[in-house]
Amino acid sequence: MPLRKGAAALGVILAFPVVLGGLALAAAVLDSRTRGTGWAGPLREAARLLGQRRRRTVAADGLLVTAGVCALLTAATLAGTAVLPLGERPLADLAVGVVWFNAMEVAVWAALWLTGWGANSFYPLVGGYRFLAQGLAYELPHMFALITVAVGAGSLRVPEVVAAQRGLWFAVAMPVAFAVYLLSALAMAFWGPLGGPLGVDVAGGVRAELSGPDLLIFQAGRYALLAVAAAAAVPFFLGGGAGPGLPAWAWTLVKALAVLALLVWAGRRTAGLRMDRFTEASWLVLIPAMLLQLLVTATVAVAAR
Amino acid sequence: MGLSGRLARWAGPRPLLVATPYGTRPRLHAEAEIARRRWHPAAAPAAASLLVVCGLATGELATAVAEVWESMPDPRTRTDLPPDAGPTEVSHALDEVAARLAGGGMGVSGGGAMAGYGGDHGGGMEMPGGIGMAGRGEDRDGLRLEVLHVPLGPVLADWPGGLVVDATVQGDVVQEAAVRVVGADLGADEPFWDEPWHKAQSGERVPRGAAERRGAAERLDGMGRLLAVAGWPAAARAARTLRDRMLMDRPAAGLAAEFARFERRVRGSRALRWMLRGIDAGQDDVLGYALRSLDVVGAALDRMDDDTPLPANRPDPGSTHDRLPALLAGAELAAARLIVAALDPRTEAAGGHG
Repeated sequence: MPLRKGAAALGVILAFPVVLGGLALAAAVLDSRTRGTGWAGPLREAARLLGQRRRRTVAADGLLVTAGVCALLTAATLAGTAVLPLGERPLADLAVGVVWFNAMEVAVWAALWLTGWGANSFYPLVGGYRFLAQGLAYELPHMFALITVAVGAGSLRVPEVVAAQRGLWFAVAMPVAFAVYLLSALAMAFWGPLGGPLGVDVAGGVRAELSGPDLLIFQAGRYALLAVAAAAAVPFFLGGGAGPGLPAWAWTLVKALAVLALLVWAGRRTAGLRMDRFTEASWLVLIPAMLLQLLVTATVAVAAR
Repeated sequence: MGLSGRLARWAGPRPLLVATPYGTRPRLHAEAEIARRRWHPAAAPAAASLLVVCGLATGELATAVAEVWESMPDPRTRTDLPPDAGPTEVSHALDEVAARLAGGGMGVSGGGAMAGYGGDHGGGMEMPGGIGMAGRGEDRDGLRLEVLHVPLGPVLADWPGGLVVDATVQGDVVQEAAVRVVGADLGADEPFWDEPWHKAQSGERVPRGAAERRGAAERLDGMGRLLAVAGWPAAARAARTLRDRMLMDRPAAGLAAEFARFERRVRGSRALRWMLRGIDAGQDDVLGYALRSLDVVGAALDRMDDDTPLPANRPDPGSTHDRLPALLAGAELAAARLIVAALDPRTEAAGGHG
């Protein structure tokens, strides 16, 4: 019995990088497809970057840049341990799984700022500024969305959040929180209309001075982050692995891919959102809307008890 | 060719385009060809492996291009497209450099510190590495922030060829700006967009429709830059595809339907309106400029089959250079880029500016 348990645990540990890598690659392929560089675009770019030499700017802080670039992929990976679909339970079934996910995803702030600052160059610095401003705009509504989920489930443990949606998915029970979560998923992965920190108007922003392996790891981290943000919507709002016919892990994967495709598609549909305008809307519309949603959810939760 | 060579060939290059004042023709061909080959253009030298100089880079522009070349990592290669390059010539040139790149590129230089891309830090205390620390000053909002002196351009994605804005920047706010044009001292060639008018001036019979077509394409080219800078690459691509079709002498009827789709998409975007409204670009806000460009293209489409001869004297389009510094001062960098894209200053025949 202990042996079988051990084998199962090993299987889950091995499945984790496969699922994370697969979802990140799916994000990259979808992105490349919508950009007009073809299905094989990401693999070709990876092959090119592997052969490209690293180049650093004058008086760059190499340690900071390396730390920032690696922190992006690390943060996405660690956030994924709590939420990625691996059957009934995620890799790390923490009592505070929801908080863990949020904490890891906040590490992205540091990752982008270190990368932008460390290059000692103008455009990456501006990209770093932009992400900090973006953080101020999206992080509060985002945290309220996660808190609403936790209040609705009465737990911070991800499998219990899933179990609480047996009757009704949270996407239906708390639609405002779901919508805000999707928007903040774009913001935290600095994707599509919220891709200002990497904007073409600032020559690529944070990643403007990255080359070769640095750029490869940065890009991998970004796609992984988008994949994890999309995958997290499944246990938080879409009933986890619940669904007819297929096993739980298959349903969670299908749902995660659907959310991912939605995010990539939505990212191409609209112009970029600048924080000098968006922050106002975020604080005046999204935060009050989230507080109302939280109030409704909390009232229902108390009444049901 | 070993495995790494085959891999490099399959991976293909990542081009960085350099626009020059008289290089519009090769730039349009290169953009179309790069899109057809599904190469992914780079926004900065660090990620690029192929430098495509469209037209002649002379004077200070040549120096800037050399700096950009120095700051590109190996393996890298470069091609210079002549100002009169046609589509086949451009295609051949790209084939050739792609093959050269697969073979390891050229100009393999040793290690050592490379120049930072555009980051020129002003004044202050000496640092190890020989660069001064940035000084501080009062900013727009009464904060004391680092003052940086940064040239925007001339080598910058989605930026008018040869334009340089010498900006004094705090945070991402432009405090002061001076505008000049480099690489335009070669006034021998006529500006690409004015070609029908020049032909008419030299006595040739040019149908009015041809000039309308060229004018509409110029507007769409500017729209492509504006939409790209506004963070909407998909719409920018649509504008460029339309631009190329205008120039390919496609029948106006088919173009009108395509343009109507594009126009609906741009006019219908609430996010775009929200983001462009109220950014002062002189006579109008950036949104006004964008919508007027759409109007101009729409009106030109109606007159594309006009066969009456073009008059020899063209109405002067006027220069927008002088208005830029006042508009850019106090704008955030993103807004500054939108203002430049909206005014879309002509950099040809502007030799007097530097």
